[in-house]
Amino acid sequence: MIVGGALAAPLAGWLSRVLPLSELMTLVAFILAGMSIYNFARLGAA
Amino acid sequence: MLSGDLALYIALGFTAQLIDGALGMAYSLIATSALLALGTPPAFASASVHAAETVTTGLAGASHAWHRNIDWSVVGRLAPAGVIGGIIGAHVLTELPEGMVRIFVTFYLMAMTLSIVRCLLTGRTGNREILATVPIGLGSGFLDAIGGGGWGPLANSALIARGDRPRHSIGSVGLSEFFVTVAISATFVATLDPPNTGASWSG
Repeated sequence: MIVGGALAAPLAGWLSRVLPLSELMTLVAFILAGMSIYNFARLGAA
Repeated sequence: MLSGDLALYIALGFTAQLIDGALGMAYSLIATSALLALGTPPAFASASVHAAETVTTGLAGASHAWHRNIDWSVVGRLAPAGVIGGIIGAHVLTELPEGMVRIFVTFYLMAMTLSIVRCLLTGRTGNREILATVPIGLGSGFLDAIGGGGWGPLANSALIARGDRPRHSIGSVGLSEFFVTVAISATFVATLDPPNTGASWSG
């Protein structure tokens, strides 16, 4: 996993730089919404 | 030639880091979920992800510095605050009700999601005085250490919601995460009770 992460790190920094502002914010909002739903599901299951 | 398992774990690390590095969040969620789905025992999965994260956050931070995605004035306040919050959180880990923390983090993430969507739709941002860098770092480091939510989603969402450029938020939070992760891991190691002695390593 460290090797995989090391291979991805340079590409990830580049992606953050080149992705348009609105697309970056949309993707962040999408991930956050997914995490919120995931947390809700865990709370509901507990 | 790579064995099937080795290639699978490299691919998993690559995917998790690509998403986490580019968007500043979700490494633990992706990696831990995938390892559990592959049949890895939970404790081993958690330990593996945290060990890998210590290295990959450093690499991601270096990559963001190389690509000039970092606002150094934010890192200068966020990283020390995150380290302090993380160390405090690691010390009080067992004294807080987990359920309450999870509920708080869930609603916090929802509120930040809505703030970012509002910002996307209207161009209006959150209050920079309320969402100041040092409290964001303290709170995110604290909650990250007690397991209530990851550093990335907590810190990034607040910085983006208050109107910082996403690229600089992601880079600054990513680099700060390295220091926070190392501080939290070191605190856990220093305060663990070694087997059979019951004594604290830190005295």
